[in-house]
Amino acid sequence: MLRAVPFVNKMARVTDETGGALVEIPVRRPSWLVPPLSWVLPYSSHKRVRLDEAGRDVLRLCDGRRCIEDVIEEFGAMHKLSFRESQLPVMQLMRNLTERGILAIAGMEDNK
Amino acid sequence: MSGMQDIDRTCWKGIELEHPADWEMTRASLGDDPASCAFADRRYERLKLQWRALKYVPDLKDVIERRRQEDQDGESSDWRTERLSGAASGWQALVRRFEGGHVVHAGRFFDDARILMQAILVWPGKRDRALESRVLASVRPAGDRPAGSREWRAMGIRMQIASEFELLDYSADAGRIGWTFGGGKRRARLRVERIAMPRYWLKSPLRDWLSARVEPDYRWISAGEAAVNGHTGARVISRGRLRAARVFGRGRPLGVDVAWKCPVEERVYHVRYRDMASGRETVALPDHVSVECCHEVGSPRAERAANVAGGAVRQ
Repeated sequence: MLRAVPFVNKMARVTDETGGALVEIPVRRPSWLVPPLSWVLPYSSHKRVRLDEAGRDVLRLCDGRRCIEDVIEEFGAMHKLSFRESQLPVMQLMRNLTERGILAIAGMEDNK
Repeated sequence: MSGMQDIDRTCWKGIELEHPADWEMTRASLGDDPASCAFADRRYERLKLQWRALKYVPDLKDVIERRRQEDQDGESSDWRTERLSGAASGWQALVRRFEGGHVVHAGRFFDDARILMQAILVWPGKRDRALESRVLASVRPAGDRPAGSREWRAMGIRMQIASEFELLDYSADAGRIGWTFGGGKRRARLRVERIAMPRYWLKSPLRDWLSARVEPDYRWISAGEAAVNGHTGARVISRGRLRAARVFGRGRPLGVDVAWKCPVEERVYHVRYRDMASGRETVALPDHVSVECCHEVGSPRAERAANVAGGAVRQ
């Protein structure tokens, strides 16, 4: 798992904000959402996720080159955390970002 | 190969040991029957310790020999068990050799403290005998300090507290370690927290943050500055709300909260003390409580570099 590489969704648009960042991801319009339904049902073309500063920092470190272990190390070095201290928040953030479609993890079969 | 490794010392529930700094404590028991703790590096659990007080002296040689015999009788092709020769002094041990590494099971009885200690060491790949001996040789009952205080040192917290105070609870959440102790004649409570990444969450002055953390059933009386370990921090004195049982009983609950930010560690320490006091008595942090800070946190990148580099173990 530590050797797996996190990639940011190419379609994600990240905008820095005070105290974090806003991530926007385009959402496919459901095929059934046509007029007249679309006139009354709210629909947004983008899913928006607001990240706090820690989430923004982790997302910045996910550049498609660093593996998860490197991201944990970098984040730990930024905040003077030990590996285990850094691992917990980084993994939690990555899980959240993956569930929201912002991150994809490649190479997870490598368990060493 | 041990590599050029930093060695750290852990003191937990009256036991102390030395281990590589990148073996971090991942879990520990609160109870004593048996007490246990485990350490892991970034990939594997490396060391598990388990100890209990015994009234009799166990024959560890016999126990280990029987264990070896049992293993030999039911031996599979996946592993081999051997009696360990050259184990650290006082330890009886056997080693199981797997295709991917070794697991060492060791036991030692400490006569003075009458404590049976069991250790399991996991060596993925090659076994580092020098490091293994050093770790085992360092495991011992810590005993109380001359002034009747006990040292606690784990998970980044280093402190001393009177040995009559027992650990009641601990928590290890993301970036926040907390220990709760209780004890003394008046069942005082002490909570020590070490909180990381203050640049994310500490947006107000420390005093305001501390005042907001006083529990709802306590009302703060005064707030001011406090100097701790050379750092300027904050102190909040609070008083528990009156309840009839307390008025006619053991006095009134008083509390003191002290917090400071250590710039070296980039951590906020918060010490909360709750005690019963009568009349005009005031409450302060007891003299037997001391919490250290200003210890440089080992960078994970440096740990990895150390693991790759060759050389001797250093402290």
